[in-house]
Amino acid sequence: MSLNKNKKLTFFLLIFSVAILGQQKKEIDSTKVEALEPVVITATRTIRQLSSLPMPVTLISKKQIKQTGSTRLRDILLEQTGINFVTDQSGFTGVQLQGLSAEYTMIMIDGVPLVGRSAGNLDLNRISVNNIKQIEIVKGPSSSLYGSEALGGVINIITEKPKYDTLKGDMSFFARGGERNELDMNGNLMYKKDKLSIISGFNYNSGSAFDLSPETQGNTTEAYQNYTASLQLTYEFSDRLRLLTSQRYFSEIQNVVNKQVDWNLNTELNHILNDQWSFDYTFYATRFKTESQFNNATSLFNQTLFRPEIRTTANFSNSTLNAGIGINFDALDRTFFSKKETFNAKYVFLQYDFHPLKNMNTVVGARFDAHNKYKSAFSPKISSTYTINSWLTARGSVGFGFKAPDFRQLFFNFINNSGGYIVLGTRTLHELYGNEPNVAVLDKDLNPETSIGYNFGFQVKPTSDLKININFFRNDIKDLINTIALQKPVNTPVGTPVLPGLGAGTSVFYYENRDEVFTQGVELDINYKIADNLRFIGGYQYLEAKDKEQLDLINSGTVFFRRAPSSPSELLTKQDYFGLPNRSRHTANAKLFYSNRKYQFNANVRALYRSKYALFDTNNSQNIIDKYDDFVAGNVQVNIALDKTFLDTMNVQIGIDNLFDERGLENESTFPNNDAVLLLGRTVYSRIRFNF
Amino acid sequence: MRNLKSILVIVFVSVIMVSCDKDNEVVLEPVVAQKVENLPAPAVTDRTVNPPVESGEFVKFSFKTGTIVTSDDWDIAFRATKILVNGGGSIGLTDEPTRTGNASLALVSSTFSDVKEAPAESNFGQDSNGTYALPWGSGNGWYTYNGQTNIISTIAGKIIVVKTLDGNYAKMEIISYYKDLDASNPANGRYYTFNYVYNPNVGEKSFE
Repeated sequence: MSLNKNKKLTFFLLIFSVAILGQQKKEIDSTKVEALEPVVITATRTIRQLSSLPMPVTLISKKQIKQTGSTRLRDILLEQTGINFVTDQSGFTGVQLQGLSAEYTMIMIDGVPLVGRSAGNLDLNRISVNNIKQIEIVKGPSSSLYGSEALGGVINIITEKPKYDTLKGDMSFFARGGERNELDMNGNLMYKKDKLSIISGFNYNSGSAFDLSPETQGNTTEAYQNYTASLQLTYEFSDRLRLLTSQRYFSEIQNVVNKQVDWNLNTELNHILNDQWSFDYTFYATRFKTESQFNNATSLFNQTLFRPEIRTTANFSNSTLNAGIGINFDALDRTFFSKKETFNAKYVFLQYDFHPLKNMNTVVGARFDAHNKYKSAFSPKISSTYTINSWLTARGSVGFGFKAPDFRQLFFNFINNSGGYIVLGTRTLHELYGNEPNVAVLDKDLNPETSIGYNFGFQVKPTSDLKININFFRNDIKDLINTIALQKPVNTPVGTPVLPGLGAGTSVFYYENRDEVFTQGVELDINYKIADNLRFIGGYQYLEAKDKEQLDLINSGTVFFRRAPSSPSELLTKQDYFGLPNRSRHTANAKLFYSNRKYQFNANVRALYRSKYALFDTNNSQNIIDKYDDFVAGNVQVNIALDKTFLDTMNVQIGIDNLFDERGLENESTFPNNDAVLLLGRTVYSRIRFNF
Repeated sequence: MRNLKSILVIVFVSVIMVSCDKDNEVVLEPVVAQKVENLPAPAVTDRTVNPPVESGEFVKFSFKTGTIVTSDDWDIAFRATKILVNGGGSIGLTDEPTRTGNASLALVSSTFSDVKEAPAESNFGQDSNGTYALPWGSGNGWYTYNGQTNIISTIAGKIIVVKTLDGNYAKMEIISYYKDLDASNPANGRYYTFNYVYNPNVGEKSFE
């Protein structure tokens, strides 16, 4: 086993060495025209060059998505520096950014958010990546532009839009063997003539059920099939007036009985008033609806979001002003709620992008969200870059982030009879049991969770072929909303229930603003063009994520642990503290992309590493995770892919994911009955794509 | 003259103090450090009623002898996860032994070796109607119960200090609730293994 592991590590290092060796082979820089700098829109809501931005942004190009054989958003995000996928205690999987869990990252398509989270997690297998232009990831608090949920960052999927008259399309068939048994069929059509452009796409994706631990009940993933249809129409009335409407419909059936439908409709009228001022009038509507089986009963979830928004941009000679105003009408009707609940939040934001010095660019912005159900939030942010010389740029940003309590945390009324527990939202708890002595002493309401995020870093370009980005980050979050077990009133005799009318053994959970946590670390990204046809992309993140209360407790000298279940107690010191669950200290990726123009083929190899992480306290030390706890072992996954284009119209791709069949089997004995610690083994896929 | 008197008094007092120290050193017996393995603590649980009723004889232990005793000279007694002290009144349990002495108990948060002497008298408590000197229940006293794995785990850093029937002090750390320390099978439960240090000198608080 360990030999096998060493082999993988060696392989990982090999990719690095190739990158370094390649450097020596390189000839003297020839003066050639550099490819156009990529632009992004998410960071400032204006089109900006990626390298000029004062905050950390990751861009994933269409080319990279295609070359890595990704079909769903999850596949491609997995390979990015500082992004992890984590299955939390609720059993749902979501994205982790800078060590912050999924509920703090906003996921958007063309600037408008997706709704429908399960315990804070958004299922990223919902999103097909077949017809997108690029993915933009902004790290650090972005609430100053996007409000709640953008506390940790934003992932924005940018769809393709034709600039010139064209008629083109593509069709692809993708099949993956192995346990996943995935099938993906996709067709896109893009048309533009004069003032009208139409983009449509259709995607079918299905997979078989598979079970990583056949000895336990239930599958790891149920069989599913889903369809996505999208249509985008743009009409340019004139050079100055443009109307865009974009819709997407997604429907999935899982394990025969679980149904999910989600659609979004975004309408945008863009009016350029004059050389200086332009206005966008948008109306966004989205619905996410599921019908699933829970404890032999049908459970419903129906969330809608409507958002009218007006934005304006003013371009001055050396600066840009952005402002926007809008309202979110958010509603959720679900089983386990006593009635349909609604949130209305009005907001206004303002941003000024200017050059206080010749070498300096500064973006200041703020947003104010006024909510009808809890206190309002003000989120300012300032970011700056300073160009030190032709190859070195410094940048930094400080911003506030917030996340509003979600519907569940306020209004949940969930009874699990077979599990012997109930979960009540804070409002529901007080409504039903407000007079009970053990409830009356609790806070009647929840506050938004708030954070301050700091990002400081450098961009180094020693040669035109090498780009290094380094970013130090820290996020301080307070008023974290936690699930808490309700305590019995003091001095009650044994056998009394926690709340009247419940069974003696029934536990009651509710939500409370409690914890303060921080995450901090450093992220390093390298993009190196070794030769014209060979590129190395690598990344590394070091992360610490800790609970401040737990730190205080440790410092007070009242936390003890045992190295083994029956060894003597020892005092836990700060050095022994590991931090929050599901966080790996080290994550890294190394990718090598080769393309041969003569024979029109591309090949790549990508290695992903994640160091060990904990799930929970296993040595009875007051829920504190220390280095003597049980850990999920670190793992390395290596993926390879090869594609060749024939006659300029047909592209054939084959690839192997998890080449060395890393399954995490050593975790089976440490964490029995837990599929989340196991990995899907090697799978082979192929794809044929026709362009016309 | 006055000075001389003072000096004499000081010398006299010193001599007494020194001689006293000497006396104590001679008399003091060394503390006893022992490990008790697989002390059985059986119980019968009737689950046909709600809440379930537990019954069965408590297993009594004496620190003086370092063994299980059946006489009234017991300090603490075990039945499943419940631990009684021989002092105070009845809690109100089925098959509960009568209190015959005035023993008491304190729960200290520390490592075993860092409890170098018994805490102040105010920290000690006795059993009484409905109240355990050593709080009972998951997370309340010495153990936690995991409902998923059905495992009883000892909470780290919980040291029990007992003032015995005779007024001696003992400290103990429970390290396992399972026979041969093997928690893999719930049937191994209700067997205590614990370390203790007993000071055989009455009233002496030191554990070193």
